[in-house]
Amino acid sequence: MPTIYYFLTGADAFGNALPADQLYTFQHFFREWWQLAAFIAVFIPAKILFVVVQAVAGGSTYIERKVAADIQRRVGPNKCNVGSFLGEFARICQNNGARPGAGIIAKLMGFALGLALPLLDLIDKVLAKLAPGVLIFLADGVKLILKEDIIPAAVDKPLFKAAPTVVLVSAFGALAVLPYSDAWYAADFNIGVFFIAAVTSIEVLGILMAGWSSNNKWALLGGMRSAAQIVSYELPVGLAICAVILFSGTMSMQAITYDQFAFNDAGSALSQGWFWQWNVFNPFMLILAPVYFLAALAECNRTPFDIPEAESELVSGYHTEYSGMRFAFFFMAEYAMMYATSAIAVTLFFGGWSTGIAPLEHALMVAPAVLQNGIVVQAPQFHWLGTLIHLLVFALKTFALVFIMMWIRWTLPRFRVDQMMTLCWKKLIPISLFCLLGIAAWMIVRMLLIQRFGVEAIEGTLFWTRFVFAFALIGWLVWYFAKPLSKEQREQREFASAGTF
Amino acid sequence: MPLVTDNLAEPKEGIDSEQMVLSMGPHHPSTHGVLRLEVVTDGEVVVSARPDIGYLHRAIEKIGENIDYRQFMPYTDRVDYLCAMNSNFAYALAVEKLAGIKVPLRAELMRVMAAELNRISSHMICLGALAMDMGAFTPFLHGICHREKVNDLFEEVCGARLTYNYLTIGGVSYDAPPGFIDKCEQFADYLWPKMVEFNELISGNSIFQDRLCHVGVVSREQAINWGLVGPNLRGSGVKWDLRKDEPYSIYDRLKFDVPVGDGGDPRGSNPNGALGDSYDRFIVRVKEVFESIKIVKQVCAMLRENDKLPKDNSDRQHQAKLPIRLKVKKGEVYVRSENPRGETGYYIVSDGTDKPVRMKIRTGSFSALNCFEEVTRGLLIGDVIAVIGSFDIVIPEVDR
Repeated sequence: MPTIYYFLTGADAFGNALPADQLYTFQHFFREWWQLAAFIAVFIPAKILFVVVQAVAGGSTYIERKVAADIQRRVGPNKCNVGSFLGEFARICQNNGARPGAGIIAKLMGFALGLALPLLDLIDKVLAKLAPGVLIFLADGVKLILKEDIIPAAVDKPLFKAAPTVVLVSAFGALAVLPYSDAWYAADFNIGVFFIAAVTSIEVLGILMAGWSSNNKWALLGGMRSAAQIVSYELPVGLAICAVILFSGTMSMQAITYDQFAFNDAGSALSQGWFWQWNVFNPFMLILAPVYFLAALAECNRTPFDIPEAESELVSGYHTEYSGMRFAFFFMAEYAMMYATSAIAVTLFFGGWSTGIAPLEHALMVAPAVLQNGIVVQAPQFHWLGTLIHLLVFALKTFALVFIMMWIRWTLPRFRVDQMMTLCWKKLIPISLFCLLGIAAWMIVRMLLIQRFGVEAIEGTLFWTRFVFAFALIGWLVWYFAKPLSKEQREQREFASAGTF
Repeated sequence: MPLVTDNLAEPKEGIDSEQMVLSMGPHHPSTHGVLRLEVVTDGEVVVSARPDIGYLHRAIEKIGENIDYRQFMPYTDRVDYLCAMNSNFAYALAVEKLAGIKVPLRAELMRVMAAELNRISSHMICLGALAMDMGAFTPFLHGICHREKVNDLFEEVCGARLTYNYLTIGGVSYDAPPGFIDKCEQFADYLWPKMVEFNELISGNSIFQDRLCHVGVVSREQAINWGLVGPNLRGSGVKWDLRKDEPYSIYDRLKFDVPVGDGGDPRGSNPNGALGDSYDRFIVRVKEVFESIKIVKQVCAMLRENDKLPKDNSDRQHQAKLPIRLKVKKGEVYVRSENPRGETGYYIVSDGTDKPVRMKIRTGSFSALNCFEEVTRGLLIGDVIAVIGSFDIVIPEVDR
């Protein structure tokens, strides 16, 4: 930090200009080879993450619009196809080559692309069926970049300009420590979850800055609502994270994932990595997972907690005065936040990148985990194919949760501001506190039982208990959603038509 | 659930708190047109919300005094564009009463059919828009989807999709085109299960109920004193429907129920609310859609009966025979009819010429806005939106 400070200001911490021989310049900044290497090692993964997540966030706006369209019985985006874009280009080239006085290159190009036209039209048809209008998010992005960046005269300019960046940075900061796969992640440090909780809570600062600096009453109300909401919902999120930390005994995201493989279980190798070992199949965690998910929805400002940007009440909330790229920053941050919180939920409760099928995991393992006194000292090594599969599994699980968020958004109305606070303080926080205590009790009882009966008996019993619990739960869920409605329920749903004549 | 104001402590000594004036509208997304509310808030709590109207004033009543009776019919479309058929109906009834015109049965049937279909399509907008104001976008588009089907039917019968100008003085412009009755029956059969689906989607949603229950409560006495009409009045538990209580046209021959609000009744549709809250006004409209479907089915059957009657080729069945220049007797008349937004009354004074001397229109939305300030006092900003939506205010009807 001091190095960067000198480099940027040319002065020491007290503001005194440095003498010329001590002045840092670009080559001074990278005086040692390892400094450059370290810079690259930080910069390149960060850039890759940023670009990939931007593309995913952009793509998911398309998916969100398609989900919305499906729920609302309409077609949704259907222009801007990949194929029709190429076909149009080929047609233009063909016409260009056919015009009198066309150059030899134009003629050749027109001829070649003219030959390719039927193929391009076919591609157009296929792609338009598979993903109609998929390029709409690029068009949206281009539009937002090209739009005028309006800064109203009466705003507090520095805050107004900084706010979108703060929001974006906090949303993207969380992505640094996510365990995307067993070997692929940007950083894995021993306070990973803590880092996420810290970084994501900066978002509220940006929103408050935006709301205050806009000099707009609607934006101010939105910013204030958001501050109250996000600060409140930090608590259930924090308590849920605490419970998982207590259960796993670690804050590292990778270690939490490995913990759900149950390597420290004394059973056979085949009992390591089944999906019923995931945290969510612990009874207390089963309550905590939805609590975390709800609170995460609130932190992302998604329906039913989109109170800070409630369109029908506050026009557009804290980003009322923003346009163009600065608005796009808020927009992108919202989607990045959705993915980040979903990925955290997956890591904490749903086994992270693990497939949940023990034989598959063991087949993909190159070197098994090394244990000492029941504690993993060396994580297992996976084949590169396994790493790839884990990446896909992680993406799939994350997207499943993101899809649920979209589904909720297009189905439910939003809470009123006091109801939202009631839900947090009177319901979610007591529930998560209870679960935190429950987990603590669970750990103590488990330890006492292990001391009494030995680790093998207890872990073996737990393994089969969880197996039964998991399948009973899944069976009940399937039965609950698949069973036909009873006569009473059907009548209740037609209540508005009751009492005729 | 108590009101928000009950929990409000008096401002403490030494804590400076300032009231803020919010200008909600005329360009606000959920003031349903160009309504402007001058909202004085203390934080999120509304101290007063005063409606500021007149942004859409077109002097329709004055125009009515300068053109003849037939020419005024298209203007009634614009008084309430969400239910143009019903507006036409009220005006036609008034002029017919003044001129003593008898309308043929065929025309009456088509009029009631058009009025009830339009009531359905108007309620679709109201219910959907209320859900959208509460943050659920999907029900609105579902409502629009059903409304489009009504518009298709109207397009078939009169060629227009919004301002129909279908009813004329003494009848209707066109008779039912071939296959129209079948399509109306199909629509009625289609809409019933869709409304059940709508109930599952939004009416039974607990967040939605929490947002509307105990919000904007209008008691029975207040509703009568403030002159609320239509679903807003019935939401407060007053069983008053002109189609039943002062039957006009052929409504006395039809079987239908008049739904009223039943807030607080454990066996009713609003067990958690209070009588006359926003949810009661919402659910009364939902039930009215079901009743209108029943009426449409009955009218379809009556139109089929009417088809079987021997046809008199000398006269048009859907239109009374009238002189080209319609002159009415000297006198005055006030006729009211039940519109989706309550009673719409036309007061017309005639001096025996072909133009009225004085015309006055009484509309439901205007009286709903009267009590707006009283009802929203002490609510939260989000609730103000709920109250506007549940009163189903349509601004051209307020301003005229």
